[in-house]
Amino acid sequence: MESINIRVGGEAGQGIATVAKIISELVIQKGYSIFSSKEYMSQIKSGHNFHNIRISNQQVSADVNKINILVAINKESIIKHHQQVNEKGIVLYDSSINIDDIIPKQNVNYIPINVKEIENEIKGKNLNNIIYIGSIIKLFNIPLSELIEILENKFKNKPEIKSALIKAAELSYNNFNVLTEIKLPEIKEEKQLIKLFNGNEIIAKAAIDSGLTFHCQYPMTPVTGILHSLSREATKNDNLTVIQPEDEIAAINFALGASFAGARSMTASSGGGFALMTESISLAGMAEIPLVIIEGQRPGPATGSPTKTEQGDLNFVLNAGHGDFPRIIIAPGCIKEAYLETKRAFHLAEKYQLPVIILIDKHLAESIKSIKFSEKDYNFLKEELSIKRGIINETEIKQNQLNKNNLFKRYKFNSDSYLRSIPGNENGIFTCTGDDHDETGCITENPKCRLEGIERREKKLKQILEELDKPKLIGPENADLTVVSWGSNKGAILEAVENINNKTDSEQNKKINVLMVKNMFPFKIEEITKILNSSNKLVLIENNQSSQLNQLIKKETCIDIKDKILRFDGKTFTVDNVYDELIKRIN
Amino acid sequence: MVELQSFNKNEKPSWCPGCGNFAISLATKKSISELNIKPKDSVLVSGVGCFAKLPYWIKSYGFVGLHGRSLPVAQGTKLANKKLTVIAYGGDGDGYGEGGNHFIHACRRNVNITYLVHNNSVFGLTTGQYSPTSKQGKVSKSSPLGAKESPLNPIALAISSGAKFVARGYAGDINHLTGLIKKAIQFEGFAFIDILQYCPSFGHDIKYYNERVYRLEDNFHDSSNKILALQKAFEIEENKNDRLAIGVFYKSQ
Ligand SMILES: Cc1ncc(C[n+]2csc(CCOP(=O)(O)OP(=O)(O)O)c2C)c(N)n1
Ligand SMILES: [Mg+2]
Repeated sequence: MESINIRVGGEAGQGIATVAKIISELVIQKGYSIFSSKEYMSQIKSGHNFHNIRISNQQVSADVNKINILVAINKESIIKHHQQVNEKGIVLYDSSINIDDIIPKQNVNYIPINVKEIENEIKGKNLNNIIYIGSIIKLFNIPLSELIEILENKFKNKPEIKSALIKAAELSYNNFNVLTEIKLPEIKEEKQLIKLFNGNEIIAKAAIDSGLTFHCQYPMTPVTGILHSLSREATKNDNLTVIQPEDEIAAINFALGASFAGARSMTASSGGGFALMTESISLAGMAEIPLVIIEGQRPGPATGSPTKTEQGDLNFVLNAGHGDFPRIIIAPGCIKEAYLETKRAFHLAEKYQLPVIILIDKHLAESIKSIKFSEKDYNFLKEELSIKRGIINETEIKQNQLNKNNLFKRYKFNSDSYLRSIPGNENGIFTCTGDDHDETGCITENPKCRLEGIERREKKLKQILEELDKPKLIGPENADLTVVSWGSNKGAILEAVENINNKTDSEQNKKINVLMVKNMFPFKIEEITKILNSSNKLVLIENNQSSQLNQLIKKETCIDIKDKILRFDGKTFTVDNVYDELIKRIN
Repeated sequence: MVELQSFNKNEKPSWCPGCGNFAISLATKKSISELNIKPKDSVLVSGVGCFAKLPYWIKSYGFVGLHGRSLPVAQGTKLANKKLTVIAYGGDGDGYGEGGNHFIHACRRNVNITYLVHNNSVFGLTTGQYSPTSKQGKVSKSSPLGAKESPLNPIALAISSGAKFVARGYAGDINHLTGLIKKAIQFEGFAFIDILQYCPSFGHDIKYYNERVYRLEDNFHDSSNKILALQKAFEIEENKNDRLAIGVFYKSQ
């Protein structure tokens, strides 16, 4: 895949996110695809941070190692990253940085940008972002007017800032002397309406499109963005209530209370906060309350590395909560899947009245991707989400659904469908409860009720399993090697595999296909067993130390994937990482 | 008119004979029916403890959740449907111990619900351990040499956490308690009542409370004055005669 990779490095608080954001917006307007990830430290000011912006004329979904343009806002950024800049690549750095003691990489252009001079000329401060952007677009041969248009829009209501930015952009554009132009790949497709989303934003959007009316979340990286997106949305959406409570135990119990009252409700956290929710997840299972929970993984144990990425919570999420109760766990692999699966989560949560967990990680939550949505995507489950909520209204309740005391049999035994009533409904009175209960929710220690209740709840899993989509191999049906993985590794794996499969010079023309496991629970035992048994050679890729997906596969299918590629240094896999590992295995 | 009977259920409560929960349950039914609130529009939310079984034996919507967690559930329910009358129940172990954090923040948040704590100064359901409101020195199975901690002051805590309706009721005075609960339900905001509850099995008996309880109303207490209210709240610690005031301590105008 042809692509250009820009890395912007600097201290937290130096505004490197702005550079990434504006460049991304500029190029997607022209019809390019972008994938933008960030690495940062858990501190607000100083500390080394960087963003990657990968630009391509095809859909991009992963990071690569090589850098075409390094924007080094401080010296540390040059030292840390210039070795990764490829031949004929460029390092743009602040001319006030003394680079005499840095041994330059061969065939890389180090171009100083005189930020101070421009700032002085227009008597402005903190303009370095726009100054670098001005230089970059000149490198790309993008007309200055396109940048100005974006600034005009973005800072419509801040005329002073706007005019300073535009002046700085003009000066840097005009001052910049292009020695080696960097060509963006040619656009093949026609211009389309493309939008930028990170995982958090797309999940918030999916939730809103699913009719979310209540969200309760205590901030925790990497899913704090969901709280931010929805808080903003609530200011203009009267049907949406967003609460930041005192802790995660409160968060999930607020959400359960709201769901019980008929709201479509959600909460989100990372491993530590999710741990606090576990007792209440068990309650949601017992009381049969629909709830969507987003779990964004980061490296643990304990506080771990708060701003890094990992897939280390799968085991925990599979087992979180005491006692036997049904749950659904879905691990989307990319932004588009995060949209579709979040919608599915809301649908399944209400249809089967249980907790549904969307398991993502920092890499998916915080990386930005340009994405095209089709009508089909927007309409996914639209009808189900607007009607089939399992809520029964008072006129629909029949006499045989009531007990002698005219209480509603909310927890009807021997039933295939799951109907609930909500407070306010005249004939639907029941007790929603975490105690073992009779059909109306009244506490009982009658063992028959306990057994009937367990049967009622566990039966859901079979029905759900049939409803979930079948796992499918991606790539050629017959391959020499099958990669098995899950979650956000998808982007890097698919691109690496495509690169290998398209290599015409590969001697024996060996092919690779991929199985991304998405439905972690309930698990598609039969289909997955079949796929694994029919493969020639298996290799597992996971972003954790103990190969938790393999543990799950072993438990469910008795197949143990011995060959493992594991990474757990807090970083995600790049396309190159995967490529290098896989090439070794097929040659 | 909503009849008291419309809140009755067939199931018989499993509380010990002579338990204060019977009285609090009756006061709840009386209050809701006298305010003309229908069973379908009232939601009783509780946690875990002897007290927490109350929703099972009143015909209305109920939510019996986890130990200490009735407040977040109740606030979520109310925020999802403002037309409902939502009453949260807590125990002194459940609401002041396990769920103490939720209590402080519910006082600050001021969502329009009523919060009733059945304060028997003991863990009833787990057979009689000392609780956050037990007196220092209380001998129990888990404090054979007497409890070391000083008791929590729910009224003072609620006032200083920002609650705008703070009262103490008594299970042995149903009419007074009913009056308080009605005021609490009618109050627009978070309304809290700490309810003194006798516990014939593990706690103080009814005689103990009858000897100590007196009505604030009879003492010209000015419930609009926060500082006086706090002073009154600390009486329980300073007063040698061990007198227990009931009534509205503080109500913001
Ligand atoms: C998380 C959790 N911890 C402990 C318990 C055990 N437990 C049940 S009730 C209770 C104490 C009840 O005391 P209180 O809240 O004062 O209610 P009472 O029984 O006195 O009405 C405890 C510790 C539990 N159910 N859940
Ligand atoms: Mg108690």
